[in-house]
Amino acid sequence: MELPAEVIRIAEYIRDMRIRGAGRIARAAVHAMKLAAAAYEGHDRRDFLEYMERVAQLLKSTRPTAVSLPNAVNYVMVRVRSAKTLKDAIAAAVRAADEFTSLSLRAVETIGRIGAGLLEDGDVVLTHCNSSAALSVIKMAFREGKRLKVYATETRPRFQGLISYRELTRAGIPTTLIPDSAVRFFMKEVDKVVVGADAVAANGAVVNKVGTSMIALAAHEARVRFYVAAETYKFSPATVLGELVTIEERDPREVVSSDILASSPHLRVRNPAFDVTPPEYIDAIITERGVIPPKAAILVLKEEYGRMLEEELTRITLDIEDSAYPAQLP
Amino acid sequence: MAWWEGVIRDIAEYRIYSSTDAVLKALELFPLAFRRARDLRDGLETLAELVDRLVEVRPTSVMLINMMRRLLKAIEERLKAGWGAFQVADALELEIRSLRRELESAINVAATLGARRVRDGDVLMTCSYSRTLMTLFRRLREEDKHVHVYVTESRPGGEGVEMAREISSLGFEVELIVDSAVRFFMKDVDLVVVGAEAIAANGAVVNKVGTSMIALAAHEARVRTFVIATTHKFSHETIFGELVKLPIIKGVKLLPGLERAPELSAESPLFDVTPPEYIDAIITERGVVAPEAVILLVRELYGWPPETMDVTSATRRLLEVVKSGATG
Repeated sequence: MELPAEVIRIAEYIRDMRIRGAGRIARAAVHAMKLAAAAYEGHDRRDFLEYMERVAQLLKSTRPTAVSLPNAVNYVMVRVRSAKTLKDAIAAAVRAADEFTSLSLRAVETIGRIGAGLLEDGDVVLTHCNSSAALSVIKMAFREGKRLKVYATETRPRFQGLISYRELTRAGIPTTLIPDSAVRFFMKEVDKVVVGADAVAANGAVVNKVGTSMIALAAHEARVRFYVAAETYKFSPATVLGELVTIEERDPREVVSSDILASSPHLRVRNPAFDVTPPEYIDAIITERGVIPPKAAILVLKEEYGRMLEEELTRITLDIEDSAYPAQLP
Repeated sequence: MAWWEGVIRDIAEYRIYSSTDAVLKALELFPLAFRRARDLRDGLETLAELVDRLVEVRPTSVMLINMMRRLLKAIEERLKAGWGAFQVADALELEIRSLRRELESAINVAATLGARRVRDGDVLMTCSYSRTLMTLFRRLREEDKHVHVYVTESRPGGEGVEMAREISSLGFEVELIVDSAVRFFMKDVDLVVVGAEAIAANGAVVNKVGTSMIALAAHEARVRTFVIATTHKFSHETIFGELVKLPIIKGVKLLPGLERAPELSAESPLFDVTPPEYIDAIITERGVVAPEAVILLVRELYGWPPETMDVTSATRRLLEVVKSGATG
């Protein structure tokens, strides 16, 4: 069966960033899976599974860096795969999608509540890009009566900082937009940095919008605390098994016009969408399960994905034993 | 509106990317002030206004202040000799021509010394737009050294795009990146080279905002950072404890792409300060030195303590000289 047009459209929107932000794309993806399941017209469980795998593949391929995407898709697929009948499988897809969505929304709220405790009355906070989790922390602290002032970076090339600026201003928080290059200049005035995450690796390194690691470095230099707000579904189980998080590079035309590129043959644009902040520069990661030191990321990964990781490790172990890989002990 | 406002606005709004070019453009207004004047007094009155305006719109440009000082001295000498407005204008034109030659030669020497520190095949990173740096790249081309260059957009303003295009037009492979991607690419970089707006007594360098971020990221990655600047950019006042003033631009004027949102509360400094710890050397026309040692070169060149004549009050003083002469 062909994939429904609506599902393909959502995938496209995620790819071209009309839907963006790790949390939002995860929720959009499970929504697409729910739509796909509901639109299935066949009569065979195996066929349905194969069809859903195709939907899952399509959605996972849209943005290579965001771990929330495969985690959300797998959340649904694990439940679909274990259903015994077609009817159960469809129902499982719908239920899992709804479950994930409310879980995700609740997580943002819980992170806000937990993270708000880390901000103090009178704090000057700096944030980067547009993260629902990070803004949830800032807005919750403000609602608790803490007087805050926020610097929001404009976040080139796509100006997501503008969305944060508007959201914070609407909430009544005095916010100033600054260019990304001015972060170190303003860092002396800043008390805390709060950013989101696209992925958290097993060692506690955080993959987030490009520029985050610069900000973390400047904060570290100025002894300013640096917090990452991240739902547990942004932790990457694949990194436990040694995989690296792929950093997506996007279209040069996000940075300059194609005229400029056409008229300068030796000029190219490198446009990585993310960078990696090492755990040494992160004071804590705020999750919906609590505040953890970055290097304890494995704790969250074991909690959330323990069974899957065990299965994978068992499979790898068996593969190696089968292939009689020569392990030479002295 | 004064006749110079067009030039002043180009300088104030950073439409002239190179600080050296901006200074030369500003200085050319000086002889005009006398050329257009009814008499000496009128010329000096205009000059006083002009100097005030320049100090107001470009307080960071130490080279501008230093050069204005030299022109004011030239005027003072001519006044004492009893010269008229036209003759002062002639003298200023001569003086500017010699300043220009001196500056060109200094830039060429600094660029030549700088080029020696760049090895064939190096990957460089730079930001903003600098006449001195462009001279360095031309020198590298002449020496047939191949380099690969990362250039940041350099917002606000975004003049890094122009710098990137010009470097690439020399045949070098250039990668333009957003300002926030500096740390991402620093691992690939061998050498950071930047220009300067001003150098302070302690060796700190004032340059386009973002420079200190690049220097910090370079320091973290153990990549060397060189500043290329002639001694004309050394701020004499900082020896006596003055800070270089860093203007803050409010609003979105210099943030291309956001002009349509004028209601935004945006702020940006145009310059930032890179501490000497993050600078490996300053390349001047008098040699490659540690940032903390530039002060020694200044002593050699200008004596000790160096001149710190305040240009604003100097114009008033000159005016007083003429007025008392007229009444007496």
